[in-house]
This record gives sequence, C-alpha cells and structure tokens, in this order.
Amino acid sequence: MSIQIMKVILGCAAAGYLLSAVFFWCKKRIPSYIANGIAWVLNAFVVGVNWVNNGYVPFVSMYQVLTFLGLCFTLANIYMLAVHKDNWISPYFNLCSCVVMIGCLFMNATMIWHFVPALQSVWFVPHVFSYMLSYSLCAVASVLSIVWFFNKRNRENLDRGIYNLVMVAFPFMTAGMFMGAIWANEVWTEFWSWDPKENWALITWMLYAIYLHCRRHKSLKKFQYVFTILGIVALFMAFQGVNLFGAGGEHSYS
Amino acid sequence: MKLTMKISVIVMTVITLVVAVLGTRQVLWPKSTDFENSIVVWGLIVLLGVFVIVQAVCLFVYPFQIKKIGFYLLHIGLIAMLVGSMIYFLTGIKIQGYIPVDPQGSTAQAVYQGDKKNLLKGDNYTANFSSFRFGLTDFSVEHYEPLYDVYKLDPSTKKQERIKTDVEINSEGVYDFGEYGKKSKDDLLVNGEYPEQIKLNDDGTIVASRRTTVKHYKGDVRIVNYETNKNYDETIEVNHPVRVNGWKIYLMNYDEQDHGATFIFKYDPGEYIMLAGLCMVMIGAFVACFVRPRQKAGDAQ
Repeated sequence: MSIQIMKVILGCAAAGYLLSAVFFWCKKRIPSYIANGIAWVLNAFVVGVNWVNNGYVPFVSMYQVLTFLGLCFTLANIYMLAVHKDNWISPYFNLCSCVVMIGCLFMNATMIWHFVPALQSVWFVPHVFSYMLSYSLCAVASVLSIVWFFNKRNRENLDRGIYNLVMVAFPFMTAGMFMGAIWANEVWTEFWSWDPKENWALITWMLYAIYLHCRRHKSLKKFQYVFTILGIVALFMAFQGVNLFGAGGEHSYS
Repeated sequence: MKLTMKISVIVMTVITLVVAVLGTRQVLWPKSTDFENSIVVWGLIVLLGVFVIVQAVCLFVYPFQIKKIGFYLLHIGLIAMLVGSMIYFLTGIKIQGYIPVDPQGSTAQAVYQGDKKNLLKGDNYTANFSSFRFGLTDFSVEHYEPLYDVYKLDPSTKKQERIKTDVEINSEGVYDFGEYGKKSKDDLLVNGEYPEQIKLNDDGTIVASRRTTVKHYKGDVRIVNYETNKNYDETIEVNHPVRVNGWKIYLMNYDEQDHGATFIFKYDPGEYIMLAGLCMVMIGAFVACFVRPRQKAGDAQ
C-alpha cells in the first residue's frame, strides 16, 4: 500500500478524532463514540500495515511510534472511563490523538524499516510501549493543567482528573525509563550515559515526581500545575525536540 | 514530615534545573562535553549524594505502614541505584579493544593494547586480566536483502534526484522498478553480492542505488578461565554480552574487511545493586500509584 494512501487514512483518522471531540462537547455522545471508534480503527489499520510491512512491532521510526501513540490515547481513555468514570476527559484524549495524527502526516513515512541489531532485544517493546502509554496520559494531564488556569468553575474536577492521569502515567514512565536503563546496560555497556534523550527523559520524570510531592504539601500545592506544564515541555523535548535539534545521540534512530 | 517533604522537593527541583541547563546546552550545542567536565561530574555527585541523604531521612521520618510499601520500595530502590552507580564510579573499569579473528583463539593479548578507562584513574589504568584469556575464533555478519532507491541524473547540473524509494525484493525474488523494469535476484547477484548501482536505462541517467542494513552479527569466542581451569567456546552478540570472572564482555562493532571485532570489557561491582534498585523503583512506583485509596477532589493527603 502506498504512502499516499496511508496518509489519506491518517488524515481521515485525524478528522474522526476531531469530530468525536466536537460531538462530545455538543453533548452528542453516541455520534462522538462512533467517530472515535472509526478513527481508532483507521489508526489501528495503519499500525497494522506498518507491522505487516516490517514483520515485527512497528516501533522503529518516529512515524511508526507516533501512529501507535495515537492508539494509546483511546486505550488510556477507556481505562480512565472504566476506573475513574471521568468521561468528561474523553474529548481531550481525542484532541491529543488528532494532533498526533496530523503530526504523522508530516513525518518521513518510509514504509520499510529494518530492525538493526541494537534494537533486537526483549526490552524494546515494553520500553517503547510503557513510554507511549505514559506520554499519552501526561499529554492529556498537561492540557487539563492549562485549562485549570483559565477555568475557575470546574477546578475540582480538573484537579482530580489531572491527579488520576498522572498517577497512572508515572509508574509507566518509571518502567519505560528504567527498563531502558537495563537494556542500555546490555547493549551500550552503561545503565546511564547522559545521552540528550536520557537527560530529557530524566527531567520529565523528575518534574512529574515533583508534582506528586507538591500535592501532598499544603504550601507547595499552589505550584503543582507549573510542574505538569513544564513536564509536557520536557516530554516534548525528550520525544521530539532532541531529534529535531539533531542531538539524538545513542538514540538517533528513535 | 512537612519539612522533609519541602526539602525533598527543593533538592529535586535543583537537580532538575541543573540537568535541564546541561541538557539544553547539550541539545543546542551537540559538541558540548559538559557531562565529561570533572566540575560538572563532581557537582552532580554532590547533588545526588544530598538526594540520597534526603531519601534516607524520608524513610526514617515516615513510620512504617504496610499500605505504604510502594513508597518504601521506591525510595529504598532510588538509594540502592545511586549507591550502585557510585560503586561503579569509584571502582569500575571499562576497556575497549580490537581483536582480529584467530581460529586458535590465541589473540587475547590484543586487548591489552586497547583504550583503558577508569573514571577516577584516567586513561592510564592497566586492567588485570590474569584470571582469563579471551580470543575471537570466528565472526559472521548477516545482511537484510538490500533496498534500492531510484535516482534520476540531470546531465546539465549533474545533480541526482530521488524518484523512487524502498524498492524491495518481492516473494518471487524480483525487484520491481515500475516503469523502469524488473530485475531478478539471479540476474543481479555477482559473486553472491548485490551491485551497489543498477543502470535502469541505456544512457545511465536512471540508476538504482543499493541500501544495505546489517541484520545480525556475532562472534564465536574462546575463553580460557584460569580460575576454574576450564576452556570453553561462547557466541557473543549485540544485546547478549558474555560474563567471565566478574567481567562483562560486549561485542560493539566489527570490521568485515580486516575480519575482526571491537569488544568492551567492563568490570562493575555495583551492577547487581543497581539492578536491584531499578527493579525496586519500578515495582514501588506501580504499587504506590495503583494500590491507593481513591482521592477526593482537592485532597492534600
């Protein structure tokens, strides 16, 4: 299947996610869920094609990882709905998926990526999967943190929503980072090599850890959302910024 | 308790700020070597040392409760990790050496001529390899079937424009270049190798250029262990280092023409403490975040 067709499908998925958010805010729940479902299936189809083309989990290029990240938002949304009954967060998940799908349209969508020896490890899939799941939750938490500053009426719900999101994201981010360290010790000889991507991943992790500590201290609580917003800036640097500046280091293929 | 929490947040914020400044410099000026600067290294060690002390104080301040097991695992794990990494920093050794293939496996002396590095003792540190001998007896590299990109050459400007990417071999063993024809594997192979360039038209202005990726490389090594008086063969691959008498041996690179490979020999007495710490932090984070009472809005626990 050609790159152009894949990009059309991704464009449709982006439109589907956007429509789902719009329907939700217009209080049309059923159309919102249908749009979300169609967008997710289209998104999953692209991930499936990447998987078949490569012959293994499609996590090798940034384009492949981003298409998978799109799927994670809906998975995280379902979890939040099932456990915390926070269905008002759904459109934020959909908006984030939409932004990611639009990002995919501008990526180098080379269809065939060979699996280089350094990536042939049992840690590869859990490392990337944990990070993608945590990134999707943190992205939504950060959007809600920005909304918190402007919305004075609904702050209690936002506060609870952000906390619940970070509490799920944080252990996955921890697992992603530390499984990466164990893997690095097997392939690059060191657990930690102060590589730019590692440094920004550490900064992101520290910022969310500080947020969780701030919540538990009365006088620090007022600063908590500064850290979630800074967290998404650091997360963007770790995920995309380092590569955009051409400083990928050991992680140059991710 | 509140004071410990406040100090903990301040220390974490300072560490984050320092790493953010260094990380920004590293991204904007990729050639910067801040993390190799001894002032930076020792500064980070002092900061992380303070962090360990604060973690330890936190553990003593908060009375033990089984429902806080996640908190304990996470913080003890962080201390273990930092202690493990400090042991490596103070006593670890890392040596890089190039070893040519020798079917008898007797070229281990080459290792001594490699770059030696100990973080504290510098490049002149001499490792003691008296407990074993290590030689490379064979080496093999496997490549993926190559991909071809098609280029059009503009004779006036002599510039090449890429007009087709990722032409791969199909299940029938044929490369299909579309309007530029098809080439079978049998036609292309010369002495078992794919050509770097294929002319796709008569005047040579349309060419397909080969892209190869290594699929796999491995070395067969012979180890003579003087401690156990055993002589045995192992296969070493990327992601699969070999352990001998406390040393971990990594396959890092290879030279197909010279028929040899580059290895790193690492001695890290803090490795298992570090690994235990990493596992404790991961388990602790999941327990602390998933096993918890549902929080009401605005609670500051």
